[in-house]
Amino acid sequence: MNRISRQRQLFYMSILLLTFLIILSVGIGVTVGQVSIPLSESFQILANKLSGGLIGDLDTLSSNAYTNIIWQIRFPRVLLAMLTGMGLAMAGAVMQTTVQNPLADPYILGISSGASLGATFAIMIGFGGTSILAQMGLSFWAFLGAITAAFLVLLLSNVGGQVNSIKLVLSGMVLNALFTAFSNFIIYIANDAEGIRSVTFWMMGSLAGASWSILPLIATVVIAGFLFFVTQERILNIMLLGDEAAITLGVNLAFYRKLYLVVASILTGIIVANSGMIGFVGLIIPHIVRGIVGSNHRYFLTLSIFSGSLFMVWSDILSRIILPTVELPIGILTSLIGAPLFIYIFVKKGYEFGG
Amino acid sequence: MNLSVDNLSVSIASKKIIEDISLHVDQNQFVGLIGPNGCGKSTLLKSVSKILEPDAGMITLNGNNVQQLSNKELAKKLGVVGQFNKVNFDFSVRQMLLLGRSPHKGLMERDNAKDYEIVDKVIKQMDLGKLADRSFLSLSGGEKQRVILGRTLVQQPQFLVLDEPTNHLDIKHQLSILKTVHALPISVLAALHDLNLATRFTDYLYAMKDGVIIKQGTPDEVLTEAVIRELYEVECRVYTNPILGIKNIEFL
Repeated sequence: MNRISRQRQLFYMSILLLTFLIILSVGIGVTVGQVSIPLSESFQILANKLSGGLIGDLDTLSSNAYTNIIWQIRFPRVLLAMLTGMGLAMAGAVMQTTVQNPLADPYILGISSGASLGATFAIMIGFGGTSILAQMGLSFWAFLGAITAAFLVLLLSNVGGQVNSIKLVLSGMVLNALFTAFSNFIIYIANDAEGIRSVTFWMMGSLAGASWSILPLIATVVIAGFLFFVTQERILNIMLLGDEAAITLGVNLAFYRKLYLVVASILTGIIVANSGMIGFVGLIIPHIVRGIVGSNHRYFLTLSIFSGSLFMVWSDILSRIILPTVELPIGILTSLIGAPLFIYIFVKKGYEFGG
Repeated sequence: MNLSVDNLSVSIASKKIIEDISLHVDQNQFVGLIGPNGCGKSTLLKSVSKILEPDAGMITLNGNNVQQLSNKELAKKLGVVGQFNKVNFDFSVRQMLLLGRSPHKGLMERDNAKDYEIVDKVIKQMDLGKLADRSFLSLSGGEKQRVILGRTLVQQPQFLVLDEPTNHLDIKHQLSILKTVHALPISVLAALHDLNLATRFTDYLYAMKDGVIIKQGTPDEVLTEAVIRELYEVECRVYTNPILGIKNIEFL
């Protein structure tokens, strides 16, 4: 009893701390970049814009261009990083639980290769280019590819009886191979150097496409997903015990497994369509959080989501400043930061997929 | 709570595992199921717990058809300790026990003081005090088995299904678990391997071979040299143990 209420206190304190760190990081995130803007002025602009002009005065700024840079370019981008991190960490955590496999990540149902095929198709065959229409076309095709792949994986693992985790993972791998083959075929046949560069860049993930117009959709999906999954913490916990034990505790997993996979796939599909393939976040963040707080979803899921968000904001910041003239694809950064973090938890905490 | 199984047949992957089995467990009776490996004991128990769906026949719990109860309703009445409890992700023992409250909880309902109280009581009853704050994955097979039985007791069932509950257990805990279960004022259906424990703790026995029941009755009636020869193809002598005054079996 005491132990459990202490756990709860720690949990709320961690949430508070993470929220504070995320707000601070957002502030830092909007100051860094090609044009350096003082932290105090960044916060001044954000406070003014967020309050609808009630707080602060924009006339005291040292440059008029600052408002545009921060409000039109950097702030949407930092918000996209936050939402992407939240969504990927949440989808990864849910996928790991749903397929009862610690190796699962948001892309396990073939979503990555499906989205890549969609994107490759768009870039190489008809929608390549820089106009806004072409960009929307790319997101659309990537989302379509992702959802098609996830749907086919679910269908395939349903053949010959109930869906189980091994069938899901295997179906995901098989369709991954198939879709990757299609993508490679298109790339090989098209023989278009500029297109190949675009595809490669897309596959490494980028938040550069952030704008106010794409945020509402992603925000709605991520927040709806979050609200849905926090109500499911008990069933998610039971899911970890396996099918037979779950039935004896009154839960038929077959239905919930499909439901969660569909929700997580839509979530991942939307994110991938807008930010490309950002690897490692969905795999590693849940493990790191589980290594610290254990597998109880009441704590684990929410903390994963907050940590994913913080992690992504910092990956984005570093991707913009680590090289002086060019921006690094964010997928490279997430692995560069994530891997050592994971190794630390693995070695220091003696983590064995639990806590 | 009583259980009736009438003319039950079950197949797995279109192979008939049990055929036309009927059995009955009375209010507060401890009924044992014995038989060689692969005779269909687990299949029968899984059908009773609604993990497997029967081809034919009916299972009723206090007159209610088990197939028509929702999983949750059934879990409030029936607790199950299965044979395999493989878990890939870790929980503390206390969290594991708390999950036993799930059938009694609504979707958003949190564990409350009463749930913690029930868990604490089971921890005492099952001698789990030393394990309570350890991680489940770090436990030995026997310790895990005890925690799972504990979780089942936290469910507060009126009927208990046990599939070889003394597997992996040392002698102390074999005896203490069977004594605990025996003392509970609930009905029990258990598959047992140890025939001497079966004579000591059960009220009634069913002997199964190749998916059918070949003998039923009190332990004294069922555990004869002839029946054991037919079941397990081994020779034995049955004698009255002078210390406890009950039948014992010595294999030759």
